[in-house]
Amino acid sequence: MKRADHQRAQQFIDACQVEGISPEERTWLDSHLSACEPCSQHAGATERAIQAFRSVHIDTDPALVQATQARVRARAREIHEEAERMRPVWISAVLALVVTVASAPYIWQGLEWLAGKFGAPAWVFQFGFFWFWLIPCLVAAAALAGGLLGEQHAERFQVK
Amino acid sequence: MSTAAFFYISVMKQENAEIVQGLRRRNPDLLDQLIERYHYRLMRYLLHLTGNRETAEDVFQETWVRVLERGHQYNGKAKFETWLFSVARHLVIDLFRKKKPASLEVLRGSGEDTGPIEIESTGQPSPFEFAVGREESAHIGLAMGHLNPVYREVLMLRFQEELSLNEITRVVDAPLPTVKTRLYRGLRALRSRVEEAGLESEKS
Ligand SMILES: [Zn+2]
Repeated sequence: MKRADHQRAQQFIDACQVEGISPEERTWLDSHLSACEPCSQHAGATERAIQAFRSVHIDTDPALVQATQARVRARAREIHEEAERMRPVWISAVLALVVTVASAPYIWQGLEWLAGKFGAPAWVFQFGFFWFWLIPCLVAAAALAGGLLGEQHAERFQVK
Repeated sequence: MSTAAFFYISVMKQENAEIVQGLRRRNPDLLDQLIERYHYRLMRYLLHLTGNRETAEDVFQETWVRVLERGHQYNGKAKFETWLFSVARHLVIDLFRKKKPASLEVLRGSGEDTGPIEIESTGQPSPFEFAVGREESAHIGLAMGHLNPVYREVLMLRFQEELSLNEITRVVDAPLPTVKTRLYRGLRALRSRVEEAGLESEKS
């Protein structure tokens, strides 16, 4: 037998375990192993190594499982409470946006009328209208900031 | 496809769908069950990856908190354990980024040829020395402890978790050729370590 045959056989032995070999390669390998002692020993050593690896047992601590379950439950409660706390804020922000959009034409007309009545220049009521539009954005920003602060608080809480 | 295989796949899909729904709702009862069911396998993976029990236990807890927080990211297409292991792996990488950048390079795969690394030396026995069930287990445990974690990781996923090569690529976030290279090199290293350990146990 040539040296290349032994190399090929040993490559197939490893490939069997890693990614598999074709039926033709299997047949060739089996016939080589039946006639070659060193390659048979190599196959045996590979099998033993994998068996040894599979036999490694890890000790686990039941207290760790319980502690983890308790920690996860506590965190789930926190997340739930956070969502509950934020809900009215988001509802208010959405309502504010809806009311703003719906009342925009009236506010525009009202401010225009007021500006005309007091002889103020157009930019004054336009500036007022700009702030009126900005309110829902400010509410939403405040809600978001509140949420982020809440999350930061929760993260601080979970540090052991 | 055989009837048994079809049945197995349907059951797995059903189970995954239940996990997806439960995780989206952040159902604490489901999480309790998952922690109970996967604790051994996750702990084994973390021990192989970190080589340190204390670190593994910390990351273990952190992983389940992360599963609760980011559970909506699991889509049920892959096995739950592949997603679980990849979550744990990211946490280990984050931890090493803070602690030891050199160890991080090994886990990323850029240090594959650098040989075994000491992730953390606490002066305590390696977790693999707690191996039981066979007379030569102490020697085998030592042999495992000396393997490069990047090899130990893929060997564990292939030979203990019985994951397919594609599933391993998802866990370790590396292309298929890299995973194969690690497996072939890992298998060679494992074989020589186990043979050495066998010789040692015969001597003693
Ligand atoms: Zn041969």
